[in-house]
Amino acid sequence: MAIAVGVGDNKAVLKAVDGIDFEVVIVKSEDKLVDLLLNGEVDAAVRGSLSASVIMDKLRKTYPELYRVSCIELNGRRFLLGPVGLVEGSNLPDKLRLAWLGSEFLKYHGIKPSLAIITSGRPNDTARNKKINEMIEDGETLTSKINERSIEAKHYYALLDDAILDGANLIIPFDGIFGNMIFRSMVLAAGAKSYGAVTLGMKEIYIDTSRSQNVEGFKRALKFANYLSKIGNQLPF
Amino acid sequence: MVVAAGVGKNKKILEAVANVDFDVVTVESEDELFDLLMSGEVDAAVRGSLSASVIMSKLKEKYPELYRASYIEFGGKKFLLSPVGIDEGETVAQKLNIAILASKFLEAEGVKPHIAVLSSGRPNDRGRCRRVDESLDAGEELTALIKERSLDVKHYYALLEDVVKSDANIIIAPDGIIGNTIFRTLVLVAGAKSYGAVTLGMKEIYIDTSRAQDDNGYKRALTLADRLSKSVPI
Repeated sequence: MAIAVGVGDNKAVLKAVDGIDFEVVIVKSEDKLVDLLLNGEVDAAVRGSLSASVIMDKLRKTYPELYRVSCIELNGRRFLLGPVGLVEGSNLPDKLRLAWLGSEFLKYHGIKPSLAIITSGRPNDTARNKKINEMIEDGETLTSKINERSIEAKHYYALLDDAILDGANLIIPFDGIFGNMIFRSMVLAAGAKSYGAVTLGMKEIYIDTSRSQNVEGFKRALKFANYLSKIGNQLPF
Repeated sequence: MVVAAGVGKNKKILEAVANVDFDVVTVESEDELFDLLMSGEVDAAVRGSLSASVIMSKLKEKYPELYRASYIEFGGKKFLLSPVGIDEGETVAQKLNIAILASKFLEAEGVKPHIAVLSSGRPNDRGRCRRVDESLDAGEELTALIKERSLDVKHYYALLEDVVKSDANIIIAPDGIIGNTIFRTLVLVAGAKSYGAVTLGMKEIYIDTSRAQDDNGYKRALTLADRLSKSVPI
């Protein structure tokens, strides 16, 4: 069993590999990382500090619809947050698909999905402006469509704090731009723990990491990839 | 010197009022809070747990262009974050106004302003989608316009993590929706200290607070209002 990890400009990845007690293959190009993963030569791959967009473009040639969800630990609570990629989850069908794939991922790991939809404002903020109204309406529609599939979901409007306190384990922001900023605020600025982002929509295990991650963050992502590959080297897909 | 504090559903502000050593008048309606502040019967007002949108609508009748800037302490640093109202700071012109007003506020406090402009993406994300491109363009334009005013400014793109490590003391979010989310994440989720939001663009001192704030947060907002009313010409 081996995990491939990418090494680009941020060499903290190499320090993270030190002291890891399973086999890690260090890769310096995006092509090689994707080839090793898709050919089955490694059981999982971690982006490390290679280019996320180059890797994602390559993966999308095989799997056109991919969604990254970050696995985060904050104040003793673990949850998935997605979309977090800038160009992911920008419309309702995409978010519905992400909700379904994320729920399947949680169920596969024995966790009952509890979804939180994050948009803007509060219920009484409708009619404040067009953008806010659109976000709130989108959140309402998404929540009801997820509920129709017998998956527990609640629209929290802007109240991300309440969603976390309530124990939501899959948090779905309005879009990837919004989700990316929540990730940066929570993990990179405020120091919540990230285990990397699981890529949903493909059967191989690919963990994306922020290139700004520190040694401990990369180490957590490697261990997470190893953990997932031990459970079964294919994700629900 | 007297500070007015609004008391709505969240009664924690009453605990905060009991723990400060200056005069505070508690009020239970938005109208009364507004009237006391505008008539000069109080030196400053703190929203407390009354309706922010009702109070802001009233204030905007007199001052059409108002912007709230949250005063946050995080990692041993204090900074202003704005826009944080979900319908504030949508255009470059509005964000330029925020940068100028926030700089004046800090200068009045005796602090040299260092402005960080945020947008949605990194330079090499250009071309990936229209909204990201628009946000990067807006960030570039805003940064250039602020520089023309001889203010210290840097465009950090989406890299909030670099901003909080820098000497920036004014953070301009891409818009109020994202600014509000950064506020909620840093303060309400990750436990950064909030002193409330200073309202820029009016001469009276009005501090907005999150209705989800705890008694310590309300105490910090009351103390800020008292201090500003004693010392700072806004």
